[in-house]
Amino acid sequence: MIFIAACCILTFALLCVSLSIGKYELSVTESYRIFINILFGRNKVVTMADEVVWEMRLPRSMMAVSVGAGLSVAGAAMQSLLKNPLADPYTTGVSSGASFGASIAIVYGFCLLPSITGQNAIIVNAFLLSLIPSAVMVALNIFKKNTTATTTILTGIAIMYVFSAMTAMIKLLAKPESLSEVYIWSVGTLGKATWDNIGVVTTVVISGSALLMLVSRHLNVSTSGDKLAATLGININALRVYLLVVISFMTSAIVSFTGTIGFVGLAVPHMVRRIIGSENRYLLPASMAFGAVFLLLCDIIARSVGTTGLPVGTITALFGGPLFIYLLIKENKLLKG
Amino acid sequence: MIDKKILAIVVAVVLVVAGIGVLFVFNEGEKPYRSLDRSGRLMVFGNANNDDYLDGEDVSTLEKIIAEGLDWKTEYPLADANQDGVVDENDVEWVKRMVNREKMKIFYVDYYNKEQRVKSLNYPVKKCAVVGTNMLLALQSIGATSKIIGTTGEEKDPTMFSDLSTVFKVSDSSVTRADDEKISTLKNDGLNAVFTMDSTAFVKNEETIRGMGVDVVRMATSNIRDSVSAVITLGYMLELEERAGRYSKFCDDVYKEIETKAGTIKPEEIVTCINVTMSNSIGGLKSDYHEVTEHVGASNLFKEDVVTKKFEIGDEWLLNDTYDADFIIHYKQFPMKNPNLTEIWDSNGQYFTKMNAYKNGKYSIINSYMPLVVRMAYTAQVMYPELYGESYGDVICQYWIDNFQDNMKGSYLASENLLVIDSSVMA
Repeated sequence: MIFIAACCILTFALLCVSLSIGKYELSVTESYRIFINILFGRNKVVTMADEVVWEMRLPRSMMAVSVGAGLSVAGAAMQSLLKNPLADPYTTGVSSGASFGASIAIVYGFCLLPSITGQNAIIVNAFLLSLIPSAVMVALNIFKKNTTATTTILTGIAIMYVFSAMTAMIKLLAKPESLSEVYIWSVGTLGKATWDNIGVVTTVVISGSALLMLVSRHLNVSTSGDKLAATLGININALRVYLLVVISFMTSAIVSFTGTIGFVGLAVPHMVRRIIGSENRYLLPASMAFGAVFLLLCDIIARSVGTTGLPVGTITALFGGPLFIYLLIKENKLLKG
Repeated sequence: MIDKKILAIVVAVVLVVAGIGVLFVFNEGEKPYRSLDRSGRLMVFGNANNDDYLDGEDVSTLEKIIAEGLDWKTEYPLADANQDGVVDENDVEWVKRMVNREKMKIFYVDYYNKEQRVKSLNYPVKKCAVVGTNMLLALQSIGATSKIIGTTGEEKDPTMFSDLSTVFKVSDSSVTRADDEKISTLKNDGLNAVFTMDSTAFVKNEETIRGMGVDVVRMATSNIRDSVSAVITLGYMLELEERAGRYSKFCDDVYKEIETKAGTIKPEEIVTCINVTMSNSIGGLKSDYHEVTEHVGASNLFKEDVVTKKFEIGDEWLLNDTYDADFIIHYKQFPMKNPNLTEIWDSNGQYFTKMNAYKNGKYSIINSYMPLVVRMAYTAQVMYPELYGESYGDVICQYWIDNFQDNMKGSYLASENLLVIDSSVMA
C-alpha cells in the first residue's frame, strides 16, 4: 500500500511538473496560473498559451498516466497468465494487427468503416485489426483443448510475423511522407492526446484493470500450474480466455490512440515484482501505479529532448531497456549469491 | 490622267511600304528570343561566355581568352570545354564541334545534394528515363515527352501526365528508384540517359546505371535560378533549345514581374508566412520554397538553417510567437481535376489547426504538381491578391498550359479547376 501511495503522490507531482515542460515558451508560474484559472472557471481557453497548457500538455500527461497504468497492469497479468517473463500486452499480436490497420489508413487513406477519414480512420483501423490476432488466440484456447501457455505465446508470435510482413509490404509501396507517419505511429506517441480520446482510454483502462483484479486470486493459483488450479476448481482454460479478452480489448484501445509504445508492459511489472513480490492482488495495482509514473516521467523527458521533442516510445525503450538489463543482472547475482 | 497615274504610284508605294512594314514586324515577332543573362545558366563546359547558348560567340570568347591570357577560371568558369585543366586551341576545336552539334562527349555541371560536380554526357540524348516529378514537369515543359521512354511507377496524376501513361516503368511504385534490370531493358531500347533530381534520395544506384553505359544527369529543378538553368541545360542536352529558350523566357518574365511588383510593397504592408511541404515539413532557410515565399514579397518567419523541420501533432515548437505568421502556405500534390477537397484539407490541415493563420482562414494548400514558376504565381496571388490580382495564378497557369503543357492544351482551364484549396473553398 505504501508503494502504491508513493507512486500516486509521485504521479501527481510529475503531473504538475509536466504542465511547465514543452517547446512552447512559457514560464513555470505562468503555466500554473493558466492551469488554476481554467480549472476553477476563472478563465476560458482563449490564448495560445491557454491552449498549450489546457488542450495539449494536460491531456497528454493524463494520457501518459492512463496508458502507463493500462499497459503495465496488462503486462503483469499477461506474464502471470502465460507464466512467461517475456510476455507483454503485445504478445497477443495486438501491436502488429494495430500497426497493419494504421498503415492502411495512413498510406491509402482507407478506413474499414465508411466515411471516416484522417486520424479517426487510423484509430478505427488500428482498433479493429488489433482484435484479429487476439481473436485467433482466444479461439485457439476455446476450441483446441489442452492449449498450453507456450502454444498461446507461439501463436501470438506467428500472427505477429504475418501482420508484420503485410505491414512491410505496405511500407514498400508507401510514399516517403506516409512512411514517416507510419514510423511515428509504430514508435508510439502521446502527442495526439485530446480530452475526447482520454475519456475513452481512461474508461477502458479503469474497467479493464478492475476486471483483471477481480481474478487476481485465480491468477495466483494458475501460476502454480494448470493441474493444481484444476484441483482447486479453477477452469484454467476459461480463465485464460477471460484474461486474453480483457487484455486484448484494453491494449487495443490504448494502441489505437497512441501507437505501439513499447517496453512499458514488459519492464514495469518486472521492476514492481522486485519490490513487492509476485502476489497478483498487489502486483496488479502496484504495476498500474508505477506504470503511470514511469510513462509520465518518460514523456517529460521526451518533451524536453532536442528542438522538437521525441515520440515517447523512443524514450521508454532507451530509458527502460538499460534499466531492465541492470535489474535482470542484479537479480541473477542475488539468486546466485 | 496624270493625276490617276500619280494616285496609282502613291497607292503602290503605300502598299509596298506597308507590306515591308508588316513583313518587318512579323519577322520581328518571330525572331527567336535571345536571353541577355550572363550568369552561366547553360551549365555545359564550352559555354565560354556564360550566356544561355552554345554558339559562335563561345568560340570567339575562347580565342580572346587564349590571345589575351585572361583569367578564365574566375571570369569564364565554363571555358575549359574538354576538362583538361587548361584553355587552349584544343578547347576551341572542341567547342566548334559542339557548336556544330556533333555527336560527342561533353562535360557539364551536375548537382548532387546541392553540391556541384563535373560529369560527362554522351551528346545528344535521344532517349531518356526520368526519376522525379519536378524533373518530369521540366521535361514536359520543354517538349521532351516523345524522348522519355521510362519513368517511375508510382500512381501519377492522370491529367498532368496523360501523355506518359503508357511509358515503361523503371520502378514498381517508388518515386525515387530506377531498378537496375529495368534500366538494363531500356538500354537495349536505346536509352542514353536517366534524368533525375539533385537529392541523393533519388537513383541511389547511380554507379550501377553508369556502369551500364547510361548517363545519370542530376539537376536542381526546384529553386528559382537553378530551375531555369536546368531547363536551359536540358534543352541543350536533348536538342530542344528553341522550346527551352521560350520556356526560360516565360519563367524569366514571370519571376521578373513578381520581383518588380514585390519591390513596391511598403515595409508596413509586408505579410509574414511559413511554408510547408509534404504533410508537415516546415521549410527552413535551405528550403526552395523559403526563397519562393520571400520572392513574392513575404517575410518567411521560419529561419532555421535547415531544409525542413517536421511538426507533428502534439508538438509545441511551431506555436511560439516567433512563428505566428499571417499565412501558412502548404505546397502539396493533389489531383489536377476533381480533388477530394475534404480529404486533402483534413489530412494536411490537421497539423496546423491550433495556429492563428489557420484559425483566421489564411491557410492555403497550393497544388505542387505545377512547375515552380506557376506555384510562385499562386503564392503571390494568395498573399497579395490586390497587388498581383485575384486570378494571377490562374492566368500564369493557363499560359503555361497553353504554351508548354502539350497534353493539356485546349482541354484544361485553370480557372475551372481548384489548384489552391483554402478556407473559402472549404466554407
